[in-house]
Amino acid sequence: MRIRMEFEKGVSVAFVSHLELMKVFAQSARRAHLPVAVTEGFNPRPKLTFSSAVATGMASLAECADLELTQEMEAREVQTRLNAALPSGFIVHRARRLAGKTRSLMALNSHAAYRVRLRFIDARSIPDPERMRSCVVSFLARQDIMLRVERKGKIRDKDLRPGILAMEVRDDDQTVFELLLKAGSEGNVRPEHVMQAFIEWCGLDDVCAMRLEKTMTYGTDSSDQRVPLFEWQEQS
Amino acid sequence: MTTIDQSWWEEVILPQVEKPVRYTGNELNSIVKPHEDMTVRMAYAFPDVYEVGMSHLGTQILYALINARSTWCFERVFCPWVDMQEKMRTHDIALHTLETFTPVREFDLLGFTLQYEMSYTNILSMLDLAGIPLLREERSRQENAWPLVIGGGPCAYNPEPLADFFDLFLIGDAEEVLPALLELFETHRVRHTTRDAFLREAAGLDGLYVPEFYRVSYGPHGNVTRWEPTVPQAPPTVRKALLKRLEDAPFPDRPIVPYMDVIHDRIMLEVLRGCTHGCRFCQAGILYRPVRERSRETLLAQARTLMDATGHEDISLTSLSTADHTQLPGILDGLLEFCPARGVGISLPSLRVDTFSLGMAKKISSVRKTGLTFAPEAGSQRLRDVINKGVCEEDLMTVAEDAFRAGWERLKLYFMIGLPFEQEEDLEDIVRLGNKVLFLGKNIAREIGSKRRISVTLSASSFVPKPFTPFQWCAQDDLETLQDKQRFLRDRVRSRNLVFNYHKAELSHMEAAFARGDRRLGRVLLRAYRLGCAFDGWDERFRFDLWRLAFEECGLQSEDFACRSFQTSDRLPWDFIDCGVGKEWMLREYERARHAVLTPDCREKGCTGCGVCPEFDCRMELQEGDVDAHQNGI
Repeated sequence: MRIRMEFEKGVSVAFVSHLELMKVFAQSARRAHLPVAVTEGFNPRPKLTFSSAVATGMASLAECADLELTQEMEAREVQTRLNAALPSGFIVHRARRLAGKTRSLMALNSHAAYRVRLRFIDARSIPDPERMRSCVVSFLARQDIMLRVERKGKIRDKDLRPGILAMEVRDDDQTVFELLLKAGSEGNVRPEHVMQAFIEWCGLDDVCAMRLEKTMTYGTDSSDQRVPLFEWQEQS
Repeated sequence: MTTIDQSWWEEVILPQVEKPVRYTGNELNSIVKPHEDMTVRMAYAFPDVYEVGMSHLGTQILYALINARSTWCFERVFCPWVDMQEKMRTHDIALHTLETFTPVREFDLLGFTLQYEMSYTNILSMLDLAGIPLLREERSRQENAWPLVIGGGPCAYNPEPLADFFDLFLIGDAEEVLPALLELFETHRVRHTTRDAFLREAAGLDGLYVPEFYRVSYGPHGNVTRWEPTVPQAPPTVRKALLKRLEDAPFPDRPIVPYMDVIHDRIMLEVLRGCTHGCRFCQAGILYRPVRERSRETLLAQARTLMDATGHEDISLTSLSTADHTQLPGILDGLLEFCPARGVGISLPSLRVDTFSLGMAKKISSVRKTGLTFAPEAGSQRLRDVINKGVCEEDLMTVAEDAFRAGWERLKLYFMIGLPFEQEEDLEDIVRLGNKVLFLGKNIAREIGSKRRISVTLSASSFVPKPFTPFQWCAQDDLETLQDKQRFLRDRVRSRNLVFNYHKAELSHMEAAFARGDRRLGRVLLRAYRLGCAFDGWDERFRFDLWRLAFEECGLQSEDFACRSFQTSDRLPWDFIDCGVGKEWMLREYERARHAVLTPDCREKGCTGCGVCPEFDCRMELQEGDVDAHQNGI
């Protein structure tokens, strides 16, 4: 049977890489004495899959993972035992049993929401909220937002604009942005790329760093509605 | 130096360095205690990067040992990699611990583990990055201004090259003497005494050496001509600290589980300490005498505890020579009862040719057959007898045949070059042996119809004559000779799938200089550090040219230390330490080496008179074994 989980990778463990995070879950499941199913063959691995790889350095409030067990168990119990075993910084917030065959999390993952805070060297160079908002408006009004990417030795130009579904400045803090971007195997857009382009567009030369946090992982349901990936249901 | 703004550190600095998780801590089972409530605060410094330090079992043992006291805290700090060091220097960030980000210089004690001579420049880097004066003398001028800098571990058995930088050394097992030292520190702190008063009392404890309480002079060829305690509390000889029984000794029951893939990502179960084989080149075999074993029951209970506490996939039975454990078959059988069911594999770090058994190896190998490693150490029987390794070629070939038939494809053989009484034929024999094993493997593979590629790796390290071994009087081969020998072997390894591995002879040469060195090397070390030497043990970082320059500028040569031989009547720089094994015994062993006479294992064939048991009024701690089963090679 399979359990689907929504979990948090906290700020204190943001620099744990995705591969290391997979190891954390495998080890925690072992400590929790959970009957995890393993792959066949020479190198048995726990059957644990994730919706995406959270970048090293980024925290995430809502990631999804599927865990396959060899015995029937209550989702609530799996969640409780796993949480007791996980190192601090990792928390499983929701867990439910999956019925029947489902598509892989990675295939279902369509969008992601991010919160980004810009760090300015000098606080005095932070634009006022009005200016920042109008910058966002003009940024989004662009026909295209090109990014030069190098992959496998080839340099390509990628248009970020179609992948940006929403971008807003926070009312209470104009250095914080909420982004809604395309994710998954097609058209994935990285928040740091969007912000890099925005910083250049807006002429924010004084920005020296940014803090990125993923706030939600989404899937798209059959009526084309965005829904938190954890809640995504197969429609019959 | 500035205190660190966490969010600036996370947003600006960490994203700019390699493997930021080296510096973030927050691992499972790491222990954070509020400093206000602590009576003793100790920082533990491993002078290499995080992933190297966290593979070391000693780190976990000491962490659990000291943190067990509720009012003591023990926090870790590793050597920042070169990129992080640059950031720290640029932004004036002081070296701090992982647990609480506290600057290291605010601790009461700063303990370095001395595992490898070529990590010494990293010790200086870390002191410097911490803002702590490197020289002990300078620190001592300001009462209570700096942490007490202490060192322990195997290299503490020749601490003299580090005497300028350390306040105190801990020699031997730490389990009893380190807490004793900290208790002493506590009482002195409460009474508001001075550093000098504290050190004088510490000097009286077994296993503690305070270098500033001794005056040393050296003769023309490096022998010690004068060794004088300068205070009445400093004993002329420092006896090592010995933990007499391992069975009841504390063990780390909740080891820290790193996020990073460290070199040994597994549970380390210390099954025994010490070794009785008496291989003449092996310093650890002498220093860790007498042999002390943990019982099967204790080990199985510990294994369960550790699996619950960590969730690791593998458990390694750690020791100098695990295959010697009296109860090994029973331990393996016991582990096999619950490990596979929990998805945990069992591994032995290395195998002895004469006690290797296929049955045992089959039990422990996981489905993947990673390579098997053996250490014949010398190519010819004569030279193996000289070093008392005693393995015979027939045994090696039997073991190799068994392994190949069972499906192993890769075999690694460890050798040393530059051994005492070595001749050219011995080197030729290394290649001959390698070829013999390779062809055996190829023939067997063909016979059993396997299509896999058989390979044999010959790994040859340059012998370093270490203190407290029968070869401690010997010189290391000079650099040119070592390089010639490496070339000799390289030229003769011509078969396909016979691989020859070796490390830079210059590195072994420097290691020998420091292993066999004395106080005069303190200046050289300081100079080498100032010239930019760091992470010397890392191939790409080792700067032999800078080391040469450092020696030159101090009016010395590395050959004076690495390649000097001592007279048997000489007083050696490390003679002030009593490791339990007598000098006369080592001399006797040296003579037996000269005539290639074997000395049997004292565990099996009776006492050989090394002296450690009467010296410490103890005996080997051997468990009641399945001796018959062991001998039958189950």
